[in-house]
Amino acid sequence: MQDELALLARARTLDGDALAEVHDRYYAPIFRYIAFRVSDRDVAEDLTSEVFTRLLSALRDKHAPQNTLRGWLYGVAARVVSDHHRRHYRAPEVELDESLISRDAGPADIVEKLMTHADLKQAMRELTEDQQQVLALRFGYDMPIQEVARTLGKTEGAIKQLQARAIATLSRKLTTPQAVDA
Amino acid sequence: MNVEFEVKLIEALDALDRGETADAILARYPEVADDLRPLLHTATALPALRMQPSEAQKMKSRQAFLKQGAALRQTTQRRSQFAFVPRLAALFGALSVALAVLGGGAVAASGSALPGDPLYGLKRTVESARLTLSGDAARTALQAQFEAQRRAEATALLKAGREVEVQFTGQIESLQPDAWVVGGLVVRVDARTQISGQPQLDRLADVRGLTGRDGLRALSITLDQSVTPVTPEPTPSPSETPTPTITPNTIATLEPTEPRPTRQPPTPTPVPTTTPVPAPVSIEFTGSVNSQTAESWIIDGATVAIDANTVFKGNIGVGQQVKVQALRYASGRLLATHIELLSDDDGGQNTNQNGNQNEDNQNGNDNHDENDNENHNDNEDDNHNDNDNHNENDNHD
Repeated sequence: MQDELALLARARTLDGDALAEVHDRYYAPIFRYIAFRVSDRDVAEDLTSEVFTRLLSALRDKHAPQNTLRGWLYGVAARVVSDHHRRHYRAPEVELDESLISRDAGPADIVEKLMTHADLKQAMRELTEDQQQVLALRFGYDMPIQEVARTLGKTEGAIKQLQARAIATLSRKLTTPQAVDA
Repeated sequence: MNVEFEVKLIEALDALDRGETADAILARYPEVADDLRPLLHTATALPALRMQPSEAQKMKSRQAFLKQGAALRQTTQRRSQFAFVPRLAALFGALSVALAVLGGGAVAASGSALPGDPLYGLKRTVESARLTLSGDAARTALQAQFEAQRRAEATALLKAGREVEVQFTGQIESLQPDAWVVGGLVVRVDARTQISGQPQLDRLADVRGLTGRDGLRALSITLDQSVTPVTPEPTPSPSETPTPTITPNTIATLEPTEPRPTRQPPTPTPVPTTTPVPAPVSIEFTGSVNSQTAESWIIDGATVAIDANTVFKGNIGVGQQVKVQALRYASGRLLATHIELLSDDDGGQNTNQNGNQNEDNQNGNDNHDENDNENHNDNEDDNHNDNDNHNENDNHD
């Protein structure tokens, strides 16, 4: 926490090293959080970059986060995702299953990952907005329960319940054999 | 899922979180182990199932981010050094003279002065002095505040319809053939406007212009060449060479029939959309209404499309000052989300008009059948204003 404050202070001066550190530290968690909530890798990449662009605008306009960079970035990521959903809710994107495989994955991994990622993505759609948020924060952003509770303004008990129900729904979806979507 | 089972699942997930193995946890709940097992497996598999970023994309994003950051750092540094240090001595002189002659009261009174007013020079002197006297951190904030002040002054002059030369700096928010939006103000651009540098969205522009009854006419616009726009451009140009001055006529004319992203019909082709259309940017500006049609309004020469979702506040007619919130699409097209009446001076005129109409109706009705028109108008007018304020939920940032 302490070093996050120091990092934030340096980022406010737009110091190149500090910005690089912010990017390196948060790119992966933000990407994973967003990837939990949108179906397409390219979209997740674009939206992740958008989060960093908004950080720069905030630093320039002196609207930068006051103390917690991590929480602030999450808030921006959540807004970027909901803006995206608002723009696209009438026209869902054409899905591209290949896009879900990490581009760094070797050919051997591909068949197996194609199944599991696609299944998870399908199953995530069955969850409520709150449940998606909780899973994306827990397993994408790597937030512990207490921090998820603080971030979403709910009690820890409520978060645990949302998580349990989300996992129950996901499990049901993932373990019920079903035809792979064409 | 019954409550009892849910409680056990929550406990089991907690234990998993503390680092216990799935097998150890299941051994503790033999009666529900079979139901619990797939759920715990899902929970343990989730971190592995999640999508990981590609290293290549991460590096690409990093590079772009650092480049934007560097450009931003340059501007803020340049802006804070720019022009103020050399004037230091002169400023102190001017300020002490001003204070001696006019006293503190005048300084305070000059706060609301507009360009062309007798006290305006004093206002600017005080501002400059505050800038020179402030520390580095405060200076940038102050400077931004004074820049906003310049734009507010221009707005006030436009509202009053006064003809004065103004100068201000702002980001280019929209580029149209006859008008630009710079820092929330519509700036008319014509063949006589001298433009130096390449006009580009989000670039800083220094505008010198004349205010008047028909808006703000730009005399000259200087574009900041060192700034790369913060928002990602749809087509980044790789050339580093300075681009020659171009006239406003070379800016592409608007596509009136561009499809809106929210209304995009599903494409029948199986080709996946991998590159999404860049997101529209929200902008806000003020100006006076030149014309109104069902599809679009022209505000100080800038065309703004309206649609069923546009929210109007106030009874807006041609010639009135309005505040517009709009979405700017990559093509430069503007779509209004909110249009709000700014001029409050016209309120009186409207009520008079309505009053006269009602009287006319009354007289007319005496001779014919008893229509109850008289009451109708009254009620409608009274109710209008109450219902305006329900749309606060659409701010993007």
